[in-house]
Amino acid sequence: MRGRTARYRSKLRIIADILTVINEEGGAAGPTRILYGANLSHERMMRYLAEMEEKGLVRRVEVGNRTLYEITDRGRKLLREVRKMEEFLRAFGLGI
Amino acid sequence: MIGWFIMLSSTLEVVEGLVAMLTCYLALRFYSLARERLFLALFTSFLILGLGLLIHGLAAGVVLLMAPRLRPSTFVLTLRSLALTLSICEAFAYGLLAYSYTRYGAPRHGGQTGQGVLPSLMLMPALAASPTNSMGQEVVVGLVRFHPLLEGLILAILAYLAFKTISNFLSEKDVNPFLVSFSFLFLAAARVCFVLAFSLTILYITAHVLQLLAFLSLLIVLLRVVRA
Repeated sequence: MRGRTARYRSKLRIIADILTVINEEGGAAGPTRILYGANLSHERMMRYLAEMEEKGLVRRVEVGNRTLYEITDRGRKLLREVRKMEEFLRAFGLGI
Repeated sequence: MIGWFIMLSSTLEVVEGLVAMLTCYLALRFYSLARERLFLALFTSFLILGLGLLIHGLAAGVVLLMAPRLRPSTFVLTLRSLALTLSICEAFAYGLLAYSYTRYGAPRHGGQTGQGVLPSLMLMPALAASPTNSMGQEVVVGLVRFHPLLEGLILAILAYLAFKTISNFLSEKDVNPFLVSFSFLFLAAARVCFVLAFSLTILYITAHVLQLLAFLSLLIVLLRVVRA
């Protein structure tokens, strides 16, 4: 939220940031791009990606010798819901 | 004359209550997604507001329409209890919203129970002396709204919420923040009219129209969010 310093990012916010990066890369992104885009350490990112894969939000695919993470339909749905939630909070001038 | 006055008041409150319940549903949906206490506060706030408006709108309409078949004391006490319930619901709901903005201090509840007894008793002889079907609108306002002091407390909370949402609109400069600030501004204006309606009855209708506009504005925001 503008004008307010965020002290921490919630788990949902981090997951949404990862999904946004993957989505903006055309639906699939490599770990390095996700790491920079979502502003996470490598260890945290891998932990989040493993959890997101387990929950069906992303899927890991091997393209040649590269590992990519693809956003799934479930991931897209979650991202849409998060955007609605953020728009709702922005309308009221509230932030989490 | 009184018939349409009551029906308009009740119908508008039911519509407003439904919009509040829709907001409550959306807040619950977001709470189940994010598990953030803020959404729980918004859910609780709009649930209480919605229930208060729905119960008051439906029950007051029924009681006032059944007035000829009720004893004056039962009639007055029922309406006063409903008015008190609505005022407490509104004070709690708006107080909780204000708390969500400040994130400190407890929500302010409007428990002015003692002060409502005197106006009720003062209305008794007037009702006993005249048949209910010839009640003046000023008597009806005195029955369906609890007390100007409690309305004033709710007005203070709404003024704060209007200030916060207008500040948000001025920093965001977007449609949804504008509609929300418009909504709280109109809710505060409606509350001014509710307070003044105790002495100038026609303002009761103005208050309800303003309150309806506020809730319709909120409804537009909800539809825009859902369709985003």
